[in-house]
Amino acid sequence: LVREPARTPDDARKRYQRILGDSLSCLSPTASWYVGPSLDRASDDDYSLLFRNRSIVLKRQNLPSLNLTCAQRFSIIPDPREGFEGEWKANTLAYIYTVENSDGEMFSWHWHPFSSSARPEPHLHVRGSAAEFGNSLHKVHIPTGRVAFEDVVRFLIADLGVKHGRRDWDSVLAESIFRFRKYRTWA
Amino acid sequence: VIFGKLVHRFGTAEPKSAETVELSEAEFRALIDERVRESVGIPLDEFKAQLADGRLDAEAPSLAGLAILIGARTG
Repeated sequence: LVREPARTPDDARKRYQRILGDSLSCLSPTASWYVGPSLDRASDDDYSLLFRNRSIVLKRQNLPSLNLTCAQRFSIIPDPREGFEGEWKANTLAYIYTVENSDGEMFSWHWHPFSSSARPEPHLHVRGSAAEFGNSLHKVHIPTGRVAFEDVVRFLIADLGVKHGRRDWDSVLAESIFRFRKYRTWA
Repeated sequence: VIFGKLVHRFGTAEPKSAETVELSEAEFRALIDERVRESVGIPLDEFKAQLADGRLDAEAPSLAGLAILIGARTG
């Protein structure tokens, strides 16, 4: 892993966008991102990210296609860690990653701590029968650890049979996930 | 064209990172307004108001992503 110090907020934002671009290319060679200033931002370095198309189509071998949607908020902050003085980093503020089939949402990973005092932890929604859970399953907040976009991409390719967008997807994701785990400030 | 398709099929084309298009504040607001109109059929300001007073469920599958992008309270 080659360290890429970000000496300015702009460097940090572009590095983060490039890493997410690498990860997205593992699913599709044509998908792309939109990034813009968050609408209710508290600072100039608060950004929102979503796919350029509303969703991306995930083709599978001998199985119906799926759709993935993504919304993420991040900010650029001075790197608080010892040894990184004078550097900047991206700091995820919230995310929603949703996998849908023709019947609607299948899985949706949520983390939106600033907008939900009742449910600040990362959690997962899964569509299913209400009978066994005593509640509509998509209303149940299944606890999870922090989930990276790359975790979702790997799950789609490795577990749901989604066709990859590039042959080196495994190593590209491995590097992105390694960076995420190494440089994140909380788990 | 045929050669290009063969290159793509066998994965020998150079893989490249997905593009990120950077939008201004006005462009981003217009994009979110467009997505809200597509999903819910109402303008962004009305969407915010309906989320704020509970008429819309911010946890609804098609709304949750838009809700965090505008800072709405979600479940």
